[in-house]
Amino acid sequence: MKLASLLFTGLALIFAALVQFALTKHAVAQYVSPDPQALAHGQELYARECSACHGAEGEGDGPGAKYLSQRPRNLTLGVFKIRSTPTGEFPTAQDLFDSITHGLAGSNGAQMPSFASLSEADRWALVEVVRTFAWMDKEGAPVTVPPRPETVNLELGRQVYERLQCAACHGDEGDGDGASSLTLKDDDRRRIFAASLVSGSYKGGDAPEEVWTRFYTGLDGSPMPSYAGRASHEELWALTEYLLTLRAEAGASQEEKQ
Amino acid sequence: MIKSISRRRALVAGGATLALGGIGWSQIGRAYAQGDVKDGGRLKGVLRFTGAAPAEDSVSISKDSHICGVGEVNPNPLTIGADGALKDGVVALRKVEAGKPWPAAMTQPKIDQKRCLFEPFVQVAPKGAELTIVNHDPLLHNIHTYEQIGRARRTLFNIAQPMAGQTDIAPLKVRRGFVVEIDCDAHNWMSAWIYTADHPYVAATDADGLFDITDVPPGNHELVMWHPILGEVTREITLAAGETLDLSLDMKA
Repeated sequence: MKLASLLFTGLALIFAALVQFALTKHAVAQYVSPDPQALAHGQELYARECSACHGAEGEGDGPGAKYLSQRPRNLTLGVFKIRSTPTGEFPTAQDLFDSITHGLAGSNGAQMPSFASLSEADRWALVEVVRTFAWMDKEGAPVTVPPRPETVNLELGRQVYERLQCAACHGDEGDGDGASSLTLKDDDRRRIFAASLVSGSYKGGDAPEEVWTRFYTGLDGSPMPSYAGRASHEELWALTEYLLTLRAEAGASQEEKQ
Repeated sequence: MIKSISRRRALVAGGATLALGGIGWSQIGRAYAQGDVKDGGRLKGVLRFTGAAPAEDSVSISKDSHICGVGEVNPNPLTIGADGALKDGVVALRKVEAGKPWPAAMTQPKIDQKRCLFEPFVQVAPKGAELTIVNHDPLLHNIHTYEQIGRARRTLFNIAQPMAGQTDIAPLKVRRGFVVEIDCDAHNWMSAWIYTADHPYVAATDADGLFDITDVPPGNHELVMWHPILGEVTREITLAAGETLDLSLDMKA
């Protein structure tokens, strides 16, 4: 009887030591996919569709990475540009799903293609893989985009652009040639250029609500900061309309020239 | 491929320990236990720089000269006083599971942006602390904090402050590392650092290179020296009950 209890205590101690070891070795909260089957399926898909650029381990170092002008995201760090969540927070699973679906095409020619050809279930399985790479134990809380106002105040939008000093990086005309654009670096300490806001497509999508969200949450991993609290919701809407109008006008004059 | 298997195993093991141990997410990475320290010792002394100074980095102040001034700035200076005394170094113990409570003064880190420079350049703070950020300049700064993880860095938050007097409070949600790097993308010569710790046995050195850490639990400890451009050096120390260790520490380029 005594021996058995001694043995039990010994085993319990060993178990406690193992737990302790596991916890100190991985001080970061560990994300375990709620759906192991989806994760396993996603890992197969990931190896086939994503690893050439993002690397077998998600570290952004796949064999194709060196041929790209912008380094593929290191997925293990859990930092993402296109989020509906405040700066510093993880994206929602929906954000990741949307980026996989639409790809990321910005004015500087980022090359993440759309994976809309994969089934929805496949794309959700890939979301699980990405969340596991970064040990994302929870989703960030998405911000609520206020409804788009019916009236457009372009003059207010121009004033907000000035007051928030968007021109420091994006230039007076919004084409990405501000004084600070020359010295910008991304999280990898690589050169990055301010996006042109008046040509091409926006990396996080062209819908007005998506543009509004970029101002509000920033693009973590890039130099673009969050402007939450720096202007009212209405002012950010005016800024959105102002830039969309500038871009439409620039596009129209471009077509006239051709 | 080997790494892949080991990570997957770690995940499975992690899941198993969680399930078996019934431990919630929030409790992972055991919290530092604050309490009375019996027979606490004291670590004091001076941190010095020895050897040849590394080449100075130099960045031109290229814009906003009406506020930022003109000329060249070294974003990450090596500030050495009399006898090689090293300012802006950090002396810390690597791992302490239980000890004195965090002094209130250490739990409220703050950083100012004034004339396009950060103040202070180096400070210490608890992991997860709320950092107060103030812009004193009438122009756009963006406080961009990163966690350093080996050679990689990951954004912790990035907040625009286009007007003078704007104040933000944001958490230093360090996950894996200790060092938080701060820059301002609008002014590429601006740089500051926060060394975060799980416990209060950590100090930034002053202009005389001095540090003083009290109420240290006696025993064997791993002592860490850190500086933004000199990196990290560790050594073992042993502290007897109630002992004061007067240390003379060196860092090289």
